[in-house]
Amino acid sequence: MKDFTFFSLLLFAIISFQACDDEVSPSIKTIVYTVPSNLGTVLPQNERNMITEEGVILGKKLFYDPILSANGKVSCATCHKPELAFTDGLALTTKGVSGQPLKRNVPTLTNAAWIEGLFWDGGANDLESLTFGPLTHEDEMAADLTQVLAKLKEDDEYVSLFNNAFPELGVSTSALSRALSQFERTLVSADSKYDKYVRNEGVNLSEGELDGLLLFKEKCAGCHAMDHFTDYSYHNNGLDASFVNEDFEGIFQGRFRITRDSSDLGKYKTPTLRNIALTAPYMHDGRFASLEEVLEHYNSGVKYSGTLDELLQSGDAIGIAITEVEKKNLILFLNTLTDTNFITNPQFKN
Amino acid sequence: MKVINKVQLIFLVVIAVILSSCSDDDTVNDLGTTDLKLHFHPHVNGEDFAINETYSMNGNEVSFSRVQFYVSNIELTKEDGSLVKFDGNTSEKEDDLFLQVTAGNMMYDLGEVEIGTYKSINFEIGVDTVINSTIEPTAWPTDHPLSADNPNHYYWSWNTGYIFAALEGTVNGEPFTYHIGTNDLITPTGNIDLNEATINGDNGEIMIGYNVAKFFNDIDLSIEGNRSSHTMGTKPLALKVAGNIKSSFSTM
Ligand code: HEC
Ligand code: HEC
Repeated sequence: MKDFTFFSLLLFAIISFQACDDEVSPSIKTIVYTVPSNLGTVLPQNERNMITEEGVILGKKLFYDPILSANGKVSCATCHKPELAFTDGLALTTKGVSGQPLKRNVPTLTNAAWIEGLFWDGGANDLESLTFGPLTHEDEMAADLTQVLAKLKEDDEYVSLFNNAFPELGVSTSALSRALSQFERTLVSADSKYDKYVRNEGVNLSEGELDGLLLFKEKCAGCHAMDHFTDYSYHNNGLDASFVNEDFEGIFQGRFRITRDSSDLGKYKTPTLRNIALTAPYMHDGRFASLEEVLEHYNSGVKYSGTLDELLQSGDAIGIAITEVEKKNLILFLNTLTDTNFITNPQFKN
Repeated sequence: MKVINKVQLIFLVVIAVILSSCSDDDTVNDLGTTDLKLHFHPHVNGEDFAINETYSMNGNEVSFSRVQFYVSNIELTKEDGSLVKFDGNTSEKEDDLFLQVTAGNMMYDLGEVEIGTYKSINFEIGVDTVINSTIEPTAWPTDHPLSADNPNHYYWSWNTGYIFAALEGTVNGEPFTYHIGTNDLITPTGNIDLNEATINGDNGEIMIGYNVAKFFNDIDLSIEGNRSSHTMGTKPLALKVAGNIKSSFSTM
């Protein structure tokens, strides 16, 4: 039981579809993923786009294929690189078709299936409808979907992959987005040192790591709820003191951009901290280069504003007091969240 | 005997109706049914409208490159006050009829309705709020008006939801963009009078005009901030445009 790989944990049962005239053809089988106990047990899925083997094969190929971009050079993986837990290591990436910096940092796709509000402000409700954002945004892939479909239709391999996975839809933008979403939902990471420790799989944490774990539970888990390391909710963690810049439909105003409720000014989605050692730089604009800087922010850099989270205030004091030794141990603990099986898994790579 | 014959005849008719009604469940009146088309006719104060033509409107030179809107919850009111809905005879919103009206396409099939006299029509401008932002655009058959494969599919990926109505073009050479949406801004038209329209085999069309010249009523287009709204952040302007679109409809 020691050398459990992620995939042996990922048991899947195959449920045959009842053949029904206007349903998916009977040869297509949906896959029910069972995920490790500390993440829940079932993988959240879109009931209208249940994962199939064929769908994931197509989705993976599309994810890595620059054919989807206007200049034929940018794929989803240009910004969401598997070796960096599907981020790109830049504060504000310039790797899109226009070369212009994006307005926000590339987030990890780790455990994307669980995220209910996608993007930093939670504005996108599901992966399926999100896809058209990066595909068509002029600073990302700048795709003309009609041209992309025309190119895909010329490629015999794609035509058969689409028809196998989505016989009703064929080569279509709907099928393209469904396939990408199916693939993204399989990006489950739950095989880090911490996971093996917490599931009693014969792995122990060092004294420093254990100390960091206790500190984390006390100071951080209020928002970075365990074991997803996020509460999938929105908080203002004190990065800025005011949010008056209304440019770009309010892209610098956080969750307010979506709800237009002033109590959401400056709130952003709590990011998961799984694989956090791989996904620098940090925060929605990539302002911190290292975990040390992040901890120093919580310790001494938190700025007051009307929406600052209560967990970062006690009486007159703001922020979370963290000593140098505590910082060291917290970082030791955060490093145990790195899942090397996740970033090397051939199932996730081209 | 005569009476018994009549009873037998009624029996036969009833059985015939039951047997023949496997396809559609509506009770059919004696006049039968006919296919109905809804004709959405854009115009500029009665003058024909075309995309990319320049028109004088309230002292401005205006040209549109895009005029489109989604339509949900269409209801016709018959002479006797009864309502005809296009809900696929189910309570599931997914089965409703949706349209995406564009200035370039005027005729839309509503399906079969009873022959008779119709008093009024009403619908919502936008995508029904139960469907909008809950059912993703990739969930429909590719020829469905709400499908991502619809050539005029218009959607916010960063704030999930359909762009209910879109007006784009130039005014006095300056670009303008109005993208109206979000559930708060779904706009019911209220009853549009059909002047006792008779729908039968000879006339299976209801024509509704929309006066593009009204879209900018009470909006000072010389102010740059008034030439663009994506709803979020500029809701008062978006509401005004939505109201103007609503009041642009009339029977023709
Ligand atoms: C040019 C870089 C770039 C490319 C190419 C790109 N993305 Fe992203 N992606 C980003 C950025 C930046 C964000 C964060 C945007 C925001 O929150 O406003 C993001 C966010 C996301 C999210 C939301 C994750 C979360 O935590 O909420 C998903 C899912 C996603 N992208 C999938 C894709 C897919 C699928 C493709 C290919 C079709 C793609 N991306 C291509 C830069 C990129
Ligand atoms: C009040 C809720 C809250 C608390 C408490 C909190 N965080 Fe955060 N954390 C957030 C939010 C929200 C963000 C994203 C903020 C942004 O980018 O605007 C974040 C971002 C981060 C990031 C950057 C993640 C990335 O992918 O860029 C790290 C690392 C982090 N927090 C670590 C911690 C640690 C360690 C603690 C405890 C010392 C902690 N946080 C306490 C809410 C919180």
